Order: sequence, then structure tokens, then C-alpha cells
Amino acid sequence: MNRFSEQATASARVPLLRKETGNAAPAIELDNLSVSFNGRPILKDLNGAFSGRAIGLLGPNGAGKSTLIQTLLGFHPPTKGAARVLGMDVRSQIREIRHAIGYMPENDSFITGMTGIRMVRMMAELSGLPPADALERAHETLFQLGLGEARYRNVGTYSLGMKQMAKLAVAVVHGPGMLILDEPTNGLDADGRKRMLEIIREIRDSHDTQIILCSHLLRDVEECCDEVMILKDGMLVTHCNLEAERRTNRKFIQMETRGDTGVFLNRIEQLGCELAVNGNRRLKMVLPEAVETRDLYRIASETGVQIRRLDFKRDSLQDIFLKAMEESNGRP
Amino acid sequence: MAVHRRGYRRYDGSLTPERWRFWILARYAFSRVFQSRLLVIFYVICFVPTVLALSAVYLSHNVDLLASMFPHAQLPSTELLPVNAEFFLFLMAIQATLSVFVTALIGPGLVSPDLTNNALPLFFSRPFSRAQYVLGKFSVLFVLLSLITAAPMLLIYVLKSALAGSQWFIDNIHLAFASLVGSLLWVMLISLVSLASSAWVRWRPAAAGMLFALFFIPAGFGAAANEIMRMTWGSLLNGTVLIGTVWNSLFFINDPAGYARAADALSEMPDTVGFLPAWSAWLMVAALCAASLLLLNRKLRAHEVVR
Repeated sequence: MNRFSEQATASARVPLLRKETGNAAPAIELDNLSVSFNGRPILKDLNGAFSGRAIGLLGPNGAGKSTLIQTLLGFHPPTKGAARVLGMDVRSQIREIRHAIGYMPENDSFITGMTGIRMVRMMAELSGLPPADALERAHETLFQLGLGEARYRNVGTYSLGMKQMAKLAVAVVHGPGMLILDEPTNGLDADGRKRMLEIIREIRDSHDTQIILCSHLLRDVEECCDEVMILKDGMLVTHCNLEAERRTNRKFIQMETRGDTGVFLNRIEQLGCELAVNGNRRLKMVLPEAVETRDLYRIASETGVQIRRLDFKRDSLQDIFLKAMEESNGRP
Repeated sequence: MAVHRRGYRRYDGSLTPERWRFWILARYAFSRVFQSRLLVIFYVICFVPTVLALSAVYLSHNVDLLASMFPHAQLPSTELLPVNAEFFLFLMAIQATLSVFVTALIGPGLVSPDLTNNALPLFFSRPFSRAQYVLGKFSVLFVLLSLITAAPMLLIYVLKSALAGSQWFIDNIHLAFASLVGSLLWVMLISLVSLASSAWVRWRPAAAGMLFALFFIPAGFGAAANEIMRMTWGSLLNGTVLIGTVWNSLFFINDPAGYARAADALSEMPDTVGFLPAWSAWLMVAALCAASLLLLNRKLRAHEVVR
């Protein structure tokens, strides 16, 4: 008889994951969450429910990002309020939460005197995988993350980029339902950062896990996340759905044309677009839901107008971030 | 092996029981510990006194064999080697001394590297508690030290029983109990002190040095206190006297005269004045274990506490 046959399965331990149940339990729910250290408030009355596949956690240094992550991991108890991860309470169900998540810490974290494969395998076993499964998944994970050739090398001899990948391997080896990544591109060169972000996107797109990405690099969050929460001074200053923002931005167009635009502009107005003409050839317009850019090209072709340039409005995460910072500065 | 499957996938298989996961740490630690040739050699040497004692017990029951080995020796007709409380105490003292060196070789490498390399978040972000972590690290020392302290005593007891007969086994069962409890108590104390020093002193050689310092420096202070204040309580800081008193109280639980003899022998050691009451030694051992656990509890956290 299989010695593990009587044990619970990983999915049974995490019943609230959306993939299994179809239940839209938010990845994170914060309910007046406050955390203080020695009476000093670090997180102040955070509220919100976050359900994105990849949630970015942004904020300047000292905003409370890492504290929030560590609270979700159960390292700090909430002083007030509550927090739930995948529907599980961080106070009463921390063991279940830790079964369901993988965590990649910000700082260098490794075990000396161990090869990559042994370290990753041990961590998988500590997460509850039987030794044989742990070994198989450790090999798979290290290959997937590009450490296949280096897996029998001592982790202490890895380069910084390899150590980052090894940390990611440790976080994902047990196949968690949620991945918490704290500054995953810290200290990586351009190639390493690109590779790391590619992997994060691959994991996100596997639809097998949700990601919380904590970073002070806006581009990292912008490239990987579909939802963003911005913290400042321990407060949640903005929560926005990047995906919706991108959809909105796709409807705001700036255009440069050549030729007689009179008929062209009339036809476009008839489609229901809001127009602003800047000079003879520069147009700004907001497209209604039903209108696509190919309709503009078609009309331009029919009216003999050349479209020389067409840009979507880029209200980047940087704009959102700066706006949030400005607004929060104005707060009492 | 399915290394061709390079995409991320959730794990939906079976899980191991949580209550035994602490043993994973011990399992990995054993294989690392025995990579050191020096330790392997020293660990084997630790069994030499036991082998000699076992041989002596065997030969003392086989006078014919002994006579054939030493034909010109005048062998006494009485019991050649009395296996009693003094015999066990003597052997336990040797094994305990050896165990300090084994602890100094193994202990510092158990916790301090994890703290130095910030590995604790990797452990504690899993369904793996601090108690399990300590238990896992503790089991490494407990198992290895028990094999050179408690196990040899039991082996000798079993051999002597086999040679002397079931009546000896029954009459001297308290020796087995005392040597087992005494050895395990010593192993527990030294393991916890070693883990605590490994957690607080991150540099391995310094942590090993600290283990010895903890035995000699407080003993010196205790002796000075005894001299200056004309008392015996300073001996509570002397590890040898402390554990010796505990062992005496175990071995001579029904023999006050024997206990007084053994306590006198202890009190005649250098740096010691008079002997300690047994209860105070037991309390001190418990306090040291509790203090070590407290120190570990303060140090083993998944994050740095910034004050």
C-alpha cells in the first residue's frame, strides 16, 4: 500500500482555489487591516479585495509592501482587522495558507553546503511532497528555470541571477496556488530581468496560479500584472485594474493624416466618435465601444486620406503611480 | 524523469503527514554531517571506550579465556569487574566528554548557516513551524549523541544481563534506567545549549568555541563565588558538577550512602567546595534547557525584527 495514500492531497488542503471550485474567492481580502511594531503603525486600515491573476504591489521604500506580504504569510499578526488569502484567514488558517502559497523572499536566501537540486527537493518535501515527487518536481523546476545544468552545483557558488532563479524554484517547486514574489528582479542585469519577467508571465499564463508581485520597479509590474495596489506610508492609496485601464486606453487615439480630411472627419463623427482637431492634420478621438481601429483605416481608404501615424493614448502605470502619489500628498 | 515538461503546473498529489516533517531536516542534516571525514573518524573513535568496556565485561565472565590469554597472571576468584553504579558513572563521564567534542563539531553548523544566509523565510513560509524546525535540528544532535552515550550503556547492561543471568537483570534494572535517563538528559542539555549558541553566534568557529566557553568560564566564576562567599551554590555553574550531581541522584536513588560517597567524590574536584543538593542540580538543568529554548525562540524568526 502506498504509504501516502491515507494522506490528504494538496488540492484538498486548499479547497478555495478558484480553479478547483470555480469560486471567485479573491486572492487577497483586506478588512481594516492594521499592523504595528512596538506601537508604531506600519499598515493602516487597509481595505479591499484583489482578484487579478497577477497583482502588483507598488510603493516607495518604507510604504509597507514587505510588511503586507509578511502579514499575509503569517510572519506578523494583524494588530487590528483581518486579512484573507484565497479565502483563508491569516490568523486562524495560516497553515492552510502556507500550504497554498509559494514565497520568494527579497533578500538572498539559500542553504549553504547544498546543491541546487537538494535544496529545492528539501523545500518541496517540507511543503509536504513525498520524496520521489519532490525529486521529480525539483528536476523539472530547475530545468524550467534554466538551472538544469547547474543543479548539482553548490548554491553558494551561484551567481546573483542564478540565486534569484533558485529562490524562484524553491517558491514554485511544490506547485502552489498562489505565488508571492518580493522584488524578483532585484540585482539582475538586463538579460536576467527579461528572463525573470518572461518566466513570471509564463507562470501567470499557465492559469494554474495567482501571482502577487511586490516591486518598486513600475515596469516590472506593468509587464506582468493586471491589477495594481499602490501603498504609501502604510496606506492603500490606489487600487486599479490595469487590464481595464488598458482597454480604456485602447479607445483613445491620436492620429496624424495627409490629404483632405473634411469627408473623413464627417464619416468618423457619424460613427459616434468624439473628435478634437489640432491643426490641419492632427486628430484626437475617443472611439465608442463598437468601433475598432480597422474601421478608421477603411474610412480613410474610402475617402482617400492617408493615415501617417496612429497612437493609442498611453496612460502608463507611471502616470497612475505619480497621480496616486500626488493625491496622497494632498491628504490630511 | 519528466524533465521535458517545462511548464508550470500545480501539484495535486498526496502529501506526507505533517507531524513527521521535522525529520526531513534531520535526514538532510545527517547526510551533510557525515560528509566531513574528520567527524566520521572522531565519531568512530567515540565507540572505542564502549568496545573496551564491552570486552572487559565479556572477559570478566570468561575467566578461562582470560587465563588462556594471560597464562602467568594470577586471576582473582571474585568478580573481576563489578558492573555497578560506579562503573556506569565512569563510562558515562567518558562518553559525555566525547559527546561535547562531537557537539562542537556538529552543533554550530546546524542553525547559524541558516541565519547567516537568511534561509529561515524559506522554511517558515511553508507549513513548517519554528517548533518543527527546532525539533528537526535537535533530533540530529539527539540521535547522534544518544548513539555514543545512552546506547553503549544499554548495550553493556544487556551484555552483562546475558552473561550474569536474569536475576542480575532484575536486581539492577535501576542501573539501566539511571544510565538511560542520565545520558538522555545530558544529550538534551548539551544539544539545546549548542543550538542556542549556534543561533546567537553566527560564525561557526566562534559558536563551537562558545560551547566550550560555556563549560569553563561559568565554572570559573562559580568557583570564585564559592571561594569568596564560602558557599556551594557557585558549583551550579560548573557543568561537570551539575550533571554529575544529577547522575548521582539517579544511580543512588535507593542508596543514600552510595550517594554521599559519590557526592563527596564530586566535591573533591578542583574548583568545587562542598556538594550541591540534588534538587538544585535538577532545577538548574531544567532552567538551562528552558533558557536555551527561549533564546532559540527569540532568534528563530522568518524576518529581522527592526526595533
